[in-house]
Amino acid sequence: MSSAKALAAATLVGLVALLGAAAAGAGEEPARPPTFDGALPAMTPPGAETAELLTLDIASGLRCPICQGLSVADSPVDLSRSMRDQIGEMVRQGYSREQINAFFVDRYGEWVLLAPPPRGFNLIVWLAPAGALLIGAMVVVSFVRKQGRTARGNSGQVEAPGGTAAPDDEYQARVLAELEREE
Amino acid sequence: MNWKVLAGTLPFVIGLIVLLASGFGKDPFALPMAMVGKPAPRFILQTLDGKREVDLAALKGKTVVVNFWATWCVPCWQEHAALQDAAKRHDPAEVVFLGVVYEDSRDEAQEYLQKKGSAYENLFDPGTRAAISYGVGGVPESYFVSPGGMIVEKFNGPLDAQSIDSLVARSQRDGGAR
Repeated sequence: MSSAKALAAATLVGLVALLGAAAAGAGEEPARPPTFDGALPAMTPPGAETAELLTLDIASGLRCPICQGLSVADSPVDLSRSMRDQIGEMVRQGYSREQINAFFVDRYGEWVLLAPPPRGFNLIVWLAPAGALLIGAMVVVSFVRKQGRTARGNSGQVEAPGGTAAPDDEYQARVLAELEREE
Repeated sequence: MNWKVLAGTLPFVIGLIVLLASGFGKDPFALPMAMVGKPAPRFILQTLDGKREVDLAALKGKTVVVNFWATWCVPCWQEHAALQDAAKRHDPAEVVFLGVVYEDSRDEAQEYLQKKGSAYENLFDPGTRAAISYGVGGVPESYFVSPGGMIVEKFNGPLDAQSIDSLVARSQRDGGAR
């Protein structure tokens, strides 16, 4: 199989696998913890220092609704400050990261998560970089092999059926013969 | 270009174009309408003068228009008159309008309403908790709650008379359980 065929086949296989995985995941609704409203905290309230670190960590994973590419932890706007306060309050009450994320996803949609969960259509986001890297590597390997073949072809040496190299160009054969005579 | 390479890469290119084309039609700053179709989160908030509290649960059986606004928000000035007129036009026994002040001070809001007038209750939301519970991303934002307590529609931006009337009518038709 030529390298071009191999590349085409691998590309198609990768695409089908990617779409298949996305379609398989799309129908599954993952188990989600109850939201803040009426739900009991999932864990024992942490100490002050742990609560502060956990608050910052959870806020780092949530998107500021009115900023461009900033997390709730990094954004200076009032809404993000209020969201950090809300997260801190929930953490101090013992709500888990999953419960707090679910609370914000309920209100703002999955869009609010800076790292979309790896399921359904989101799988494309997770798998596309690896796929692109793989295709890139295949293109480079194919290119290097092609260059190698061209270089060998230009040297005028081909593998003879018996395994010994023989000149295949009349002009080169004459040059070689002349050189031998000179010696 | 080698046609085999072209055939191999074409599905990816087409997929990428479809993906990008679907994104081009969307406003990158528009928040998803995540709360539409869900029960309206309950809030109990004080009026701006602090003299009484309004409990959303007590308004069961009425259509409620919850308008998040701020004095520093220019589009909120634009919709102010339309909201006041609509509140006067509709029977308060059937349709209740509530203003919720967003990321602003009581004093500023009271001063603004004294100048511009107010035909309905305006509430203070300490810590922006009520706004966050509704998924508010900016103001003005308005939520139309059915008599059954479901959020029928969310409206981003300044409302006009026509939009208010049509969304109120739609909310009145929806009688989902609170």
